[in-house]
Parts: sequence; structure tokens; C-alpha cells
Amino acid sequence: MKLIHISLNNLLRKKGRTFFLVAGLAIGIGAAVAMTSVGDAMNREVMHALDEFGANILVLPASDGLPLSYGGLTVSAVNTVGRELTTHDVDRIRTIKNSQNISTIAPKLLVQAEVRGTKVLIAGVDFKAEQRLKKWWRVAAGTNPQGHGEALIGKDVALRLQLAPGDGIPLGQENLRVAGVLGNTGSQDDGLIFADIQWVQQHFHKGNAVSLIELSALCSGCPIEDMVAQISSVLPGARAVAVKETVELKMQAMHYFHKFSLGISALLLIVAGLIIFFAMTASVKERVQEIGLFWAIGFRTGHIIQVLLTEAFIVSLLAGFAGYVIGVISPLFIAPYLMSAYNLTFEFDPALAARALASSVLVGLLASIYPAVRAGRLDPVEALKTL
Amino acid sequence: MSFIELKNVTKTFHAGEEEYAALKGVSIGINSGEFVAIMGPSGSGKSTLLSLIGGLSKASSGVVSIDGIGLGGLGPNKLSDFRREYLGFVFQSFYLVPYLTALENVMLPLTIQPGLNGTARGMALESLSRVGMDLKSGRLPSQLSGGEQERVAIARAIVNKPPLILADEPTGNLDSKTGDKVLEMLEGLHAEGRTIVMVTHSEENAKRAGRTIEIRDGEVV
Repeated sequence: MKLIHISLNNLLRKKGRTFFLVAGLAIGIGAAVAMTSVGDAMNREVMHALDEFGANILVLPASDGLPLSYGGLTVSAVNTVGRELTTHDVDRIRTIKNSQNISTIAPKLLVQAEVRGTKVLIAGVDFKAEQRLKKWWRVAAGTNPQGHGEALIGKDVALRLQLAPGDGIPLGQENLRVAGVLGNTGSQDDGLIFADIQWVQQHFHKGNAVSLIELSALCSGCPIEDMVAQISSVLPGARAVAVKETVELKMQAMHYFHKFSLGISALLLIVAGLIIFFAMTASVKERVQEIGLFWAIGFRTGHIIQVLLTEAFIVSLLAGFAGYVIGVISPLFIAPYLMSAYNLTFEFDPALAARALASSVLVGLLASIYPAVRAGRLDPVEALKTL
Repeated sequence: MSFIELKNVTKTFHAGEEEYAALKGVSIGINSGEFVAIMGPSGSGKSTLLSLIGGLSKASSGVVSIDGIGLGGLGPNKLSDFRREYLGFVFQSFYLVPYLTALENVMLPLTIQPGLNGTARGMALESLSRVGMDLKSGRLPSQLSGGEQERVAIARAIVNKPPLILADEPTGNLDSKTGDKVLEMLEGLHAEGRTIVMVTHSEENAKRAGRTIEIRDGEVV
């Protein structure tokens, strides 16, 4: 018989107490694991939503270094020194290694024009791609453009030029028909006229030129810098830029959820630790005479502490296993009520399992050190009251 | 020099600001192989004396030595080692660990004894056999009678063959017939050459010992 048998026998004899002790810690660990799993799933969900929320990569012609601000996003420059971008470049972008991570490619041709004596900027766009990119767009009046000669105008343009759906925008020999007016976006879009890119190319004799290409990349699946590098390699005459604001927003969101999960998990582990602490303290009080006997037959302080900490280790190891199982299964039932994480599936994550076990053992041992050391310092005469 | 030597030993306890002397300048010598009974009324200091001899507490002043080893100078771990090598305790309340079988209870002192190399079980069974409990070695204490529990406690006290056995009211919780058997076992151990120190209230029991030391109000009378 070794000291571990004393610990094991005590746990086995008090099955009910051991069960509730394991259950208490397991629920704490399970909740922490579940928080991590749900937090990760929420992260993925938010990341996915953010991935679709505007562009996060801009492709520009090679620049001479002059700055350009477009849509509130600061990029390096657009004044071309090499070749201009063309619609063929859009097809090239689709050939990059991480093309499956690209959700939208929205090319734009920016042209300055004069309408009724006022200079305006006309943006030739692919309306379908643009509307996928700018989910916040709302047509306040009229409809979405249906044909080549139709336009969607910003709120400020409509006010300044007194334009309404159905009106014509005189551009040289042709009129561009206003199909709809955008609601307030609070961005540069309020001052733009959006028309079909092919119409703009033809009308302004720009061939297949493109001023810039906006991309929305699902960057949670790959580092966005990798995609930028891949685009740069297929478009050597162009300059691809990661829009840091969007990326940083995503990183902030990830950071927020990570911190939230960690905070709640830490709180749960502290509560679990307190359960162990009080249970071990009660156990030591209950076993005072037994500890006194251990003293009398020659146990050292270290032996007594070893017996008690071994019990705590066994309990917390079992709780770690049980907690991990609870933690990975419970989100399957809980998550649908919290969010639309229907694709959440059980996956064995060795790193999470190892963290759950390590946390459980650490919490169990830390919470038991004080009661165990106190037991090791009991006055044997007090413990053995008959002496 | 006696095997057990107490010289001018005083043991005081503090209850708040008050100081209470449980032993007042006690000097005793017990030779190796003696069977000594310590008698006295409740609160006389006899159990305090036993705890000093057993190294479970230290004297406030004076010298306690066993086999020439001054217990006052030993640290906690050395005292534990001393108890393991020299002493076997038999308690009035048996103090069997409730979740261990009789065999495991007897093996308990051997779990921390180095160098046994798998002989512990055999030693424990032999010890149980000596007290007639080998056939009930797999039972838990709750499945044993009071007398049987005391016999297991004696088996545990002698399993590592200590030279000194300290018995605190060993028949206190037993009927006279069972108590008599326990005393016979102690006499048997004495006959083997072990030193026995037994605390008792009973004059009948004290007569079974070779010598009686009587204590009253913390002093040997």
C-alpha cells in the first residue's frame, strides 16, 4: 500500500461527497470550456459578418506616392505612373491561391463630370457587387438601377442638383436616368453618382479602364497580408493595400470577445476553486483525528500534505475530463439560443482539452494547498483528543 | 541511564492569560523491557506525560529522552521518524481509519517506511495473525466489534516491531472479558522484551504491569 491508496480509498468510500466535489469543479471547468467554445463560435460569426461588412483590400494602380482618400479609407495614392487597371485585372485577382476567401470584388471607375454647372464625381460600379459590399445602402426613393443608362445617386447630389427618381442627368449628348436616391450613408457616397461601370467606360471613352478595385475578403480564414501579397504578385503593375481600419476593427472585436470569454471563465474557475477550498477545509476538519493518528504513527508533515493534495489532484483530474466533455457538448444545445451558430459541431480540440485539464488540476491544487498545509501543521495532541 | 528518562519535566498550557501546569517537575526513569502503568485521576497529567514520551508534544522545561535521544532537540520531521522507529501507539478509541480495511490499517505505518520492497503486506498479515485477526483482514472497521478493532489497533502498533508501546486506556472502551484479552496481548509483548507504558484508571489493570507510577496534580506521588 502506498500513500495514493489512502487518498483513493477515502475518495471511493465517500462516493457521494467525491461525486459532488467532482461535479462542482467539472461544472466550473465545463462552463469555462463552453464559454471558450461559444466565444470562439461568436468570434467566427462576428468575423464572418465583418468580412461581409465592407471592403478590406483596395487594389490601386501603381502610384507616385500622392495620398488619396476614398470612402473615408486612407490609401497611399491613385495617380498612376504605370499602367492603369482594367477589368481583366478583376479576373486575374480571381486566380490567387486564396481566391476562395474573396467574397466580393467591386471594380470602380471614377470620372469627374459637370452637371448643370456643378462638378460631380461619377463612380462606375458593378451594382450587384457594390450592393454586396455595402450592405448599409438603402434606396430611399425610387428603385435600384435596372439598365445600363440608370444611376443611383447620393442624398447630397439629389439635394444639390434637385434630382429625383425618373429625372435625367445630362452628360454630354446622353442623359443618365436616376433610378433611385440613396438614403443617408454618412459617407462620401452621399456626394457620388453611381452608374454602371460599362456605361461609364463607354460614355467617357475609357475602354476597359478601372480606377480601383475594392475587395471584401473573408480574412478569418487566412492572413489578409498573404492575400495582399498574392494579389500583388498577379498584378505586378498594381498596388494592393490592406485597409487597416477594417482589419483593426475585426481584431478589436476578436479581442473583445476573447477578453469577455476569459473574464467569465476566470470567474467560473474562481467559484470552482472556492468550492474545492471549502470542501477540502471541511474534509480536514472532519478528519482531524485521522490526521492525528497519521502523526502518531510517524507520518511527516509532507506525507499528510501529500495524501490531501493527491486527493485534490484525483478529483480535479476527473473534473477536468468531465468538464471538458460538458464544455464541448453543452454549446451544441446552448448556442442556438444565443446566436445563429447552427454550424457549431463537436470537434476534439487537444489544446482545449489540455487547457481544461491543466486549469482543473491547477485550480484544484491551488485551492487545496492551504487546507492541506493547515492539516500538516495540526497539533497532534489536539487532534488526538484522548491523549 | 534508563531507556525512558524524564528529568524535572514541566509542561504548562496557556488558557488566555492564565497559565496551567499539567506536569510540575516530573522525574521518571523506565528501563528497557519494563511494563509500567501510569495511574491517576482525570486531569492529573498522565495523558500529558504519555504525549511527552510519545514525542507528540514537547516539554516546557526539563529533559525527555528515549534510548538516549533527547526529544526536545528534535525537529518535526525527526520526531516523526522517531515515532515511526521507536513507538507503537494503542489508543482507547482505536483510531482505525474508517475507509481502510483491517489489513490496510495495519499496513499504514509501513507505507512511509523505506526499504520494505513489497514485504509490507506479509508483515501486516503476520501482525494480524498474532492478534488473531488474520481471517478478518479484509473487513472495514465498521464491520468489526470493539474488541476486534482494538486487536487491529494493537496489530498496527506492533507491525514495525517498535521497542516501546504506549497504550492510552487500552481497555477503556471494552467489556471486561475483551479488555482482559487485550491486556494479555500487552503482557505477551512485554514478555518478548518490549517496553510497555500504559495509562489506566483501573487498579486491576495496573496490577498487570510490573510497576505503577501514580500521578496527582501533575506530580509523581
